[in-house]
Amino acid sequence: MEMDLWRPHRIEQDQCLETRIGPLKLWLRRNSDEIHIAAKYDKTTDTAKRAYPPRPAETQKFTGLDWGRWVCGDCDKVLLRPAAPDRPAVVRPELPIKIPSGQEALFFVGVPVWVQIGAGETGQVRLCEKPSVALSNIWFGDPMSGELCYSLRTRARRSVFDAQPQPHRAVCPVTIHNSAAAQVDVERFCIHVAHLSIYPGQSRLWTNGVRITYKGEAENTQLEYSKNPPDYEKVDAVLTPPRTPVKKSFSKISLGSFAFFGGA
Amino acid sequence: MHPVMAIAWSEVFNKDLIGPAVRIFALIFLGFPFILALAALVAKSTRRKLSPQANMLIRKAIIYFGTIVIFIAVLHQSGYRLTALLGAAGIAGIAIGFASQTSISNIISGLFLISEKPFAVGDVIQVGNTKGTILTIDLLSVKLRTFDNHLIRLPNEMLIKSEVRNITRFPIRRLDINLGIAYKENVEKVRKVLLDIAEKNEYCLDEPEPSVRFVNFGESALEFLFAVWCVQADYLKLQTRIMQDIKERFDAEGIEIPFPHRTLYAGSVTEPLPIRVVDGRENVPVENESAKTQK
Repeated sequence: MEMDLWRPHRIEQDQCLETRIGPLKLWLRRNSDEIHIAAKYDKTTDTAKRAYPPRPAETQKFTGLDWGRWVCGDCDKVLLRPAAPDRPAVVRPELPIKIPSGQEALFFVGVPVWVQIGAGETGQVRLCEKPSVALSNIWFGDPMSGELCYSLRTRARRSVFDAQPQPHRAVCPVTIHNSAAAQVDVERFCIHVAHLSIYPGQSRLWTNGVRITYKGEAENTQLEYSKNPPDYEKVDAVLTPPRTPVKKSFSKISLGSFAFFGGA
Repeated sequence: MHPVMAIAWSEVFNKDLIGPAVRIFALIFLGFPFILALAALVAKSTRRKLSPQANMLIRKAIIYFGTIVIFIAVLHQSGYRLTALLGAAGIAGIAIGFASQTSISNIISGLFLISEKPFAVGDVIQVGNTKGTILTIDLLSVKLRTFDNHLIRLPNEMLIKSEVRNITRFPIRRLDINLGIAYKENVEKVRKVLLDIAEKNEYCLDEPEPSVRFVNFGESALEFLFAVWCVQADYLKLQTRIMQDIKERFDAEGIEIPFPHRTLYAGSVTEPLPIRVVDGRENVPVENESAKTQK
């Protein structure tokens, strides 16, 4: 895995750095006490697996880029950090999954990361953040009181090591337990990704695990965000803490926002 | 002695006059600030519990009621006989009541609107052909700012009687697009193309799902209803973008959006309709083969 991406990188005066995290290409240019940032998305499928750390580039050949300017003082280093998306994600398996009563299933969901860009050794001057992939929006819940989420189409793999690592995705282990009397059809489920931390693993990025307990249509769905790193692979210390730490180890969420939808 | 000096100051500063004068002064200069402060205090304490409209109503009620009390107290201190005044006010009240029927109706309608809460400050509403953002909801009227930056005052009575459409009450909204497609087109292909356009549009929500309904065999076209959902804030951006997307994609796919037309049949027993072919030079009629033969 390309871990050099997430380390501080020196940027000289008037130098331009170029980097790629999956489909996202970033250009960083230092100009006096400013950092200029431009981003572009490459939608071809083969580029999703590619990543390289910031390296010197010529800006003259990149015409048509939409640059933004940030005043950051005397900063000679930039730091990129992967973060969870800024809105909840609705995970929709390509094929609906049926879980009989009393059974539980573990899925590995690849959550696209947001790239936080900061100036300074520890990225203490927050500049901006860019999604590594442009996700479409989805409404979760009823049209009067639901919430806006990102839509995440996934294969919901049962074994993470079957798939080739993608540098712009963090693997989130999701356990769904059906404690209701009847079978449940999992067509979609919502993860509040703001509670996820990002950990660097040996081959890919990871997040803490999520456990969803389904208790029946009329009951609340219980969600538990683990505070521990995943143990499917050796991981280092947390790279990015959650946007919103979970106050309790367990949270009871209302049926409206976390119900499994029965159909369209 | 100078005439001014002739004023009997002892009479002016009569003990009987000084007391009421001080009280009137106190009522006016202490009473009004007290009422304003009380209204502000009550409004502040109820701000979180009540809607902005109810809050405004309580504040105004305190100010109006306090003003009336001060006014009556000042008259009383001035030596007016309130019984006579109230008797006169009763007669005047009937006259004023008749004259201010509309205002009273508006006030009562305003109270109903505030209790019913069909809209709030900041909502976008449509009443008849008027559409705008609500600036204030007052006792007599609701004030709107239209999108072309006009201020429109709608009397409360009118709002109670009319159909009011609150456009921004719910967080998501559906955009309905009526489309006419030429009869020769493949319906299934049109449906797939439209759904693909919706899927690729960044403002269009994946769920609630976009839908394509084949609604009618129209006079000149097959009529479709293409419905897509978006969040309130993206409505105009979605409308602009998706219309352009449809036009460009239909052009690329060769799907025809027909203009209204009529096909005229002369009937099997009649001769074919005569055709006049016009060349591109100067719109000079060119005779066809049959005409040449006749010559």
